[in-house]
Order: sequence, then C-alpha cells, then structure tokens
Amino acid sequence: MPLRRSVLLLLFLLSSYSIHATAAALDTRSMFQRVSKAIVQVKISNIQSGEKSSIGSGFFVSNDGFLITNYHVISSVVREPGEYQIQLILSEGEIEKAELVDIDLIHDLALLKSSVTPPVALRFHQGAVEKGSELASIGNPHDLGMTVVKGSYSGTLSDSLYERIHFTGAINPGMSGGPALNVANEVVGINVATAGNEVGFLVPASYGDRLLQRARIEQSRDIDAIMNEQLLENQQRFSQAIFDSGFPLTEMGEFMVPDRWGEFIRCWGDSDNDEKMPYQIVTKQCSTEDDIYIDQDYSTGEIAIEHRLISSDELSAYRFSSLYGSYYADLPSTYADEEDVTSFACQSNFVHNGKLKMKIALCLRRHIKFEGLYDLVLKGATMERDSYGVQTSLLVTGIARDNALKLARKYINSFGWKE
Amino acid sequence: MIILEQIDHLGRVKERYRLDSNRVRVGRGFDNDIIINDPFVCAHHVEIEARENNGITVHDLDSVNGIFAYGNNKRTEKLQLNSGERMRIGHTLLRYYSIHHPVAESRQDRLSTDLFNDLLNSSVVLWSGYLLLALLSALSSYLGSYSEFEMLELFRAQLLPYAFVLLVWPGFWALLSRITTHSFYFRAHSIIATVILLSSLLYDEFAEPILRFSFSLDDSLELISYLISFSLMGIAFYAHLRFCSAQSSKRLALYAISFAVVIVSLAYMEDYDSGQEYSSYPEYHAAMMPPAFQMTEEVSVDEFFARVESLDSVLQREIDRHNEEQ
Repeated sequence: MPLRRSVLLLLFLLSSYSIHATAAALDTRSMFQRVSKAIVQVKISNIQSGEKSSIGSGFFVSNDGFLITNYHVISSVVREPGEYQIQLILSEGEIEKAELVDIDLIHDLALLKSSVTPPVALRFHQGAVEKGSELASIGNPHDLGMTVVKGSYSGTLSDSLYERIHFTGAINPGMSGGPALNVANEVVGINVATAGNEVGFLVPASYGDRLLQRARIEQSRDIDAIMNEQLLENQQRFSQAIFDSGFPLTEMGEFMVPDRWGEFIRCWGDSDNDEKMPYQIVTKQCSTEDDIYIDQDYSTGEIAIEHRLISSDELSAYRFSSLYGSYYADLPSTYADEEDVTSFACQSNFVHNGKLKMKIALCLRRHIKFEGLYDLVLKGATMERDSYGVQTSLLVTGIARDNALKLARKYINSFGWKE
Repeated sequence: MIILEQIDHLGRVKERYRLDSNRVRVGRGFDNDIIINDPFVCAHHVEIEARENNGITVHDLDSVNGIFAYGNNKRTEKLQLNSGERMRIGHTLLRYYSIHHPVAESRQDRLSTDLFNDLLNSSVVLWSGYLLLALLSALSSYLGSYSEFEMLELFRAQLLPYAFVLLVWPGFWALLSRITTHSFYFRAHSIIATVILLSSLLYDEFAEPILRFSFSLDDSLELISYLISFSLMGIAFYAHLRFCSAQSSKRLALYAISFAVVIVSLAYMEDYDSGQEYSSYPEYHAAMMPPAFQMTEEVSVDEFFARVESLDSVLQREIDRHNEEQ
C-alpha cells in the first residue's frame, strides 16, 4: 500500500514540528534522571564504509546487558549479514557493540545483547493498564538527543492483526525502539510507529518480556529460521481467524459476495457514476491496515479484497466485454523483489461453483528465503450476463500453500445470487 | 537454310538473319547477303557454305583481319561450325544455328497468365483491400472501446501506422522488383501487403482474443500464434518474391520458408527470454468476451483445484532455478 505509507511518512514529518506543552502530573524530569542511563541510541552502520544506515532507540532490560529495540531499526543486520554492525551510544556518549540475539518479527521487536553492565535496567509492567493512564515515551528523535514525550494510554487497537497500543502522544522517527513508561517507571510499551497528530503506536510490553524470558531459557538460534517460523505461525493465526469468521456474505447488485472476515480488515466503498460514461462501477475494497515489515522493499502478511460491480445499459455485449476485460486485468499491487519471491504461476479456467459461472485465475508465488510461505492472487469475474457482472480480486501475502488454497476454495464457493 | 545471329560478348542476340540459300556472303559492302556495320570487317569478308550434316564451312575471302573460331586467337583460312557454335570476324561475333537446332522448353509466364496475377494487378482489388482494412480496424477499435469512440484517435493510432506500412513495405519490394525484373509491380506488392495486414488484423483482434478467452492453454495458444505468424510471413515472402525473380516456384518457396523460419525464431527467442524473466505481476489471460463466445465447458470447483496442483511443479522449478543461480 504505497499510498498509505506515503501518508504515514508525511504525517511523520509533520508531527516532528508539533509542539507539546501539557501540564504534568507525571514528573518527567525526575523520571528522566532515573531511567536515562538505561536508554541508548541504536546505530546501524556499514562495516566497510562506517556510514550509518539507520538509527533508533533501545533500552536495557537486564543487568547482564540485554536490550530491546525494534526489529525495523536493526533489519539491515538481519537482511544483509556481515555487512552491518550494531552500535550502542550510551547516555554518556560511549560507543559499545551489541549482538542480535532474537527477534519478534510479527511485533517488530529485537533483543540485543551487549557486554555493558548498565547502571539501570528497566522492568516490564505486568498486567492490564487503565485507559487514559499517563505514559512517557522516551527516545532520540531525529538524532537530536534523548527526549521525553508525554502522552496517554488509549487502549489497544481492535482493527489490527497485530496487537498495538494506541498512545496519544508524538512519537517521532528515531524514537523507534524506545520505551514508554508509566508513573512507576515500568515499560508499558515500546515505541514503534506513528500516524502523526499525536497518534502513536506502541508494542505491548508483554512481547518484549516474552523475548527476554525466551533468551534466558533457549539456546540462540539462526535468525532466518526464527523469522521463517514466526511468519508461518502468524499466517496460521490469521488464516484461522478467517476460517473461524464463518465467511460472512454481503450484497453486491444481484450477487452475494464475500464480506470482510473481521475487524482487522477495513473496508471502503466507492461508486463511479460519471454520466458521460456509458457504464457504472461500484467498488468495495477491504484490506488489512498493517503488514509485517521485513525490509525496505519486502513486507508481507497483507490481505486485500476488492469487488467491483460493473454494469451498462448502453454498451453492446462485445464492447462491454472490452470494459470487463480491462478491469479483469487490474490487480492490487503485488510488487516484490526478485531476490525475495518467485514469479507467479497461474491457473485460469471457467469455473461453476454450483451457483454461478465465473472466469477465475488463481496465481501463486513462493517466497524464496522463507520455506512454505506463498503469495496468493485470485481474480474472478462472473460470466452470467452480457452487460452485467461482478469482479473480484483477493490478495493474501505470506500464507502457507494449503491455507491459501483452502481460503481460495471457500472464497470461490461463497459467490452466489442474491436471494 | 542458314540462320546466323549477330551477338554481343554475353551471347545476347543483336540481330538475327534467316537465309534461304546454301551459300551466303558476309561483309561491310551493301552487295552482301548479310551486311555488317563494323569498320574491322572488309567489304567482302567471308563466304559461308552449308554442309550436309547441319553444319557450315566459313571461307576467308582474303580479308584484312581474317576469321577466328570463338575463344581462339589464331587466324584461320577456313572454319567448320556446328549448330550453336560461334566465330568472330573483325569485332563482330556471329553464331550459327541450323533450323533443326532444338529449343528449350517454353517457360510459363506467371506474371500474365494466371488468375491470381490478374487479381494482383487489379486496382479494384487494391482499393477494396485498403477499404476493408480501414473498416476492420475501425470496427476493432470501436468494439475495443468502452467510453466515447474518437475518430481522431482511430486515425492517429490505427490508420496512420497502416498507411505508413503500406507505403514503405510494398515500396521496398517494388524497388527490388525494379532492380531484378525492370518493373515495379507496386500494385501487386501493395495488394500482397494489404492481404497480409488484413489477415493479421483478423487474427490479432478477433480470432486470438476469442481463443484466449475460451482456452486457457497458454502454451498451445502460443504455438498456434507462432504457426499463424509463420504461415503469414511465409506466404507474404513467397508472393513478394514471385514478382522479384523468375526462379522456379519451388526455389522461391524454399527462400520464403527460410526467411519466415529465421524471423519467427528470432521472435520466439526474444519471447522466450522475456518469459524467463522475473515479473512481480501475475500473468494470466485477461481477455474478455461476451459469455456466448465461451467455447470450453466450465469446470467444477473440485476440478479447478485439481488443476491448480500443477502450479506446484512450476514454482518448484522457479525455486530450483533461483538456487542454481546463487
């Protein structure tokens, strides 16, 4: 979703100029004094050239040198092994090295280990947080030095596949990976993203705690294998959510078509009734708001559905079919790099699902580095009437083959006539 | 009876004489049976006498420059020639034929005898071809448009390129014809080009989309497309070549097929290369036709998913290829 990303980016930039002047019930000055030694700047630099490629924030969570930051801060270390190194800039300015221990790709977290013995380590808050509680997010925005941003806990997002805390406060670039603390100086969440205008997002602290606990009991493992496993687990989770939804249907003209499968999928409607045009199009688009970031050009775990009701009273059957064909060729963005996925392989047929006749193209491609992960594109068009039909496209990225086919089958089977 | 030809050094006939008597005198003087306008030939140069066995004997009449057998620079007094043989007097070449000399079988004149050539030479055919091409391309752009139909766009995108091709392509062949046969045959070349353009328009805009719509068999459809372009190209080359060369039909067909093979294989190689390239966009046939054009039976959902299984091996090959490249 390039549009969504650019809007996010714009909002990011705007938000960095907003001014925060709110009365304090939370004493940020004393908090900062107490915790600042636990917070570091994380700098990823190229080993060859020494140039920094990304910066973020991080914080110590144990006295033996474990730190938490965001996966997206350190992703180049994972994606181009041997080319980048992780450096920590401590509160007094000393530079130390750190190694990557574990990641939680789905929640955008990474656990680092350094040989530093920090004077302070932060604790994770256990249990629920009251909505409206004051929080302070700490980090290093725009490489300008450590700052504290006050805000409040506004609950968790209900319409996301990936659990996030809504933080009302300005999180800026560079603050990624920093902690958001409550009055007891406990970590409630980890800064991860912003939608601008005081809308920030945090990863719930429990996921950071889980990473730390896992590092205490498990041997260190190959990061690629961990990513593979997490991606497979995640697709199983969202596939199950879809299968459990009972496949609700919605009306589209004279047809019944698949509706969204839960709140994690958002829908928009649009109709195109330009009087100059000899045809009418009603569009319904649904997609997930988030995806899983792997690197700059590679994200996955997206679901997008689109239905289009296309009709015309004026066009002849043949001319209508030209219109119908041009929309049949149209798909949501499937961009990915050659190093990450194969080309698509497609099967195309006229299919009768017992209710409707449709022309269907089902395309699959495989992820190269992640075994068992596929992208599914399904395009369908009803072939029942001359100048009236509904077209659909379904895009699911990062799904196992069997789940993809099961989902595609249920999807095709759910089309029918309106009662 | 004696037949003499005055020829040039390539053997081409400049003059031909048929003489009833058995004794003939040749020279520059006006009292000879054959008068030759060559300053190196004497007034009375030679006397020719018919022999029994279809040959002649040539006697030198005391000429200044004498007589020579063809290809021989030694002057001779007397020369025996058989039918079809040559001699030289002065700077003039003569060839003798007896009336019994066999002639080569007559060649069929393809350029003016068969119906096809009549058609290919008819301006009615040419202009109907142009008209049909314009109408069909207008029809195809009308059917392919679903908003307002624009005449100007039709001219710009369809008719102008056609007009350009119909000037340049036949023009090229006409030049070739002029060089090899001394005639342009521009109309014939234009008709051939128009017919080929019409056929490819019919296939590309009508037949192929219908086939694509109904049959999802990518490979076989591709094969059909190659076969059709191969045939059209072969026919075009053959037809054009007939107006550029008097060689036998068999040989021309061979040339035409070879041209077509070369060009179609080049196109195939390019397609193959781009087909192997990575694409992040799924490639499926998006061509749509009215439901009535569907020629294949629809399959059940189960059958469809049984066919989807075949994608596994395609994807596995892609993975293997990627691993090999690493």
